[in-house]
Amino acid sequence: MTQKTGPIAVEIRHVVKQFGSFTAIRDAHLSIYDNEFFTLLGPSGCGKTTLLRLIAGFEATTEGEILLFGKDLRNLPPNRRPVNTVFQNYALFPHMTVAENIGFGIRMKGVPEAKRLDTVDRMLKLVRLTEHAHKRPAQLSGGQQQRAALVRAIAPSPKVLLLDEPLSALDLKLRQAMRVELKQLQQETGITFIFVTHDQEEALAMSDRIAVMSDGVIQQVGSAREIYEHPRNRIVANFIGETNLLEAVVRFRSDNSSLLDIEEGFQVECRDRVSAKVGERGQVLIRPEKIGISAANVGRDGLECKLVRSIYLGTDTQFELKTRKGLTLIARHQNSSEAGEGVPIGSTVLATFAPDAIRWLSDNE
Amino acid sequence: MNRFRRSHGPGVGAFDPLKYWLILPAWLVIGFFLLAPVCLMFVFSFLTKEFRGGVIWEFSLAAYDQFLFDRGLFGDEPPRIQWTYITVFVRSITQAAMATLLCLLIGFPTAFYIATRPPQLRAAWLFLVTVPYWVNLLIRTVSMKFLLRDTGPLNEFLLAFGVIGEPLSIINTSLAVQLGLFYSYLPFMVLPIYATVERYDFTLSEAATDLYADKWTVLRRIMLPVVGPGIVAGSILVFVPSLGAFLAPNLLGGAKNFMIGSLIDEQFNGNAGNWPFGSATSMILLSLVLMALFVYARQVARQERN
Repeated sequence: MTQKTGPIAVEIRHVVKQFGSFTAIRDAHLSIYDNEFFTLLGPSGCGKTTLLRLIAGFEATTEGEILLFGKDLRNLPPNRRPVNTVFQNYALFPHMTVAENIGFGIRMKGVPEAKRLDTVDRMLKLVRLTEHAHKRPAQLSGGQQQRAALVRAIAPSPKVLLLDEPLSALDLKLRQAMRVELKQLQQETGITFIFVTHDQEEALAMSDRIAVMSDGVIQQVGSAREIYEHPRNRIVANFIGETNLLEAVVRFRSDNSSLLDIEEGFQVECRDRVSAKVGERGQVLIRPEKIGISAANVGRDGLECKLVRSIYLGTDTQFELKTRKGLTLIARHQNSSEAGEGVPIGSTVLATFAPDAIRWLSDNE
Repeated sequence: MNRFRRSHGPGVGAFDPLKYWLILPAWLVIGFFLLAPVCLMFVFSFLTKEFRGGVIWEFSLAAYDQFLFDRGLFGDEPPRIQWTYITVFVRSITQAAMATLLCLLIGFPTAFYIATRPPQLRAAWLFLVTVPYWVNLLIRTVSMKFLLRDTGPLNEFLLAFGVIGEPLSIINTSLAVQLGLFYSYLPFMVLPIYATVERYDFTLSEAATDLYADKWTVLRRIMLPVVGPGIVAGSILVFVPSLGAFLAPNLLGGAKNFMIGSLIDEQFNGNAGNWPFGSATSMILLSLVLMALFVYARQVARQERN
């Protein structure tokens, strides 16, 4: 796991934000490292945008503090914080040209004109907008506006760039292209990016680390892989990717291998550290792509299921399985693999589980 | 571009009689209530006056001559420039400009405040702004006179709180006229500005603040240019009727604060009874306003192009 360390760019300590009686953020702690592509991921209303606005200074914290490279940002208005924001709707100034928009920040900082024009040129080139420099934002396409908004925020060389769902207004193709571009831009400029999104795919594709938020609480912080493979609780597990969440009873327990009943009489091996005692219940997670499907007569050790439904999804096919006792399992396989291919609906199959498929949720409530 | 043009209507060039019938009421209204009176004024301004009102159908330039030149009491002296009416015009423009400025200073914050309230409250505030307009303009102007007079509530209030030692004589000054015009036309400033501020995207202000602009710069460089059209519309709506107003100058201004409106009113309703001169003055006023609007429109068009 490649985890960046080094100087901490943004540190969030005990931050609470209330709007009247509504608590948007409850006691958040977070350290975002310098030069990191950090993503705040969560469903709408989870507090991720509020957290971003607290860092930008548009909102004041109710409690706690936010440090930028060790310096307390409290009492510093947004126009004196060395952070810039890319807004969801871009917020380009409609009465200014693209070049004027991009130059606005450095102009306000008092950069002399010659140097300013130089920077604006460089920025225009960076996102291939040079020939549109003298157009008004309304004359640009959505993707071009997006890129203009991006370099407008980068031009003053902020220490941290805040991005509030900047890709959500673009169509799928453009969004995918912009992901690559954003990541590249972050690596080239070396600016710390804090990226807010509700799109897990976006988060997984770009981020060095992700904080999953829900109901104003930071549920888990980790790399894309950590969050996907080892979600701490069911909220994270449910939000990231598809999941089978199952109740399991501990039958045997040791540090690196335990046996769990996921259905009466069917035991699977789990290699995570299991926090419950023998005989107790807990939740496990199985990703759909880790459930194997084989014909019932192969004689392998598997759970006997009925194939209820299969859905063709282009690259993948999704299979819905039902066990004898009514438990539903979702499996998913690439169409290039042979698993499940040609199995008729309603037939009996064996669902098989690799030992690393079973994940014990460490936050079993 | 082509597609746009085509979407203008089915069958460009095809004759559709219904289209002309439907537009007829609009043309009738414009023709009858707008063009006809102006044409009538235009014609009257070139006719000879009948004493105590009315016209004689005989071509004459006397009305325009009277506006510009002074030829003595009996009209036999060599012509000198007549400053009286030009002074009235200059005064009217100044008064209207001051009234517009007052409306802008009070109207902009008011409109801003209303537009930033929650939607349910906005309707209530707008209602309050328009309530005085249910009362006749004459009544409102007279009530202004009562408010401002030496023994009126304003003076009594200021005296009671010791702000002033003796009553301010506001009535019969140019300030009184400005206040009267301000009160008459304030909603015409508030409503168009409200409409633009309500549509203003406040994330633009946030974006500017985020890019190191202070509050004053955000207002000057972002907000004002974006809501500018509303301010211009409001200013025109206040300035133009103020320029031709006669109730406020007549009732609040006294003899010294005569404005164009009063001058024209005199020619038709008052003692002067000179219809051609009243018409000529109206035509001059109209041409000045149209010229100003034309110059403004051209400037806007030029800015748009750049």
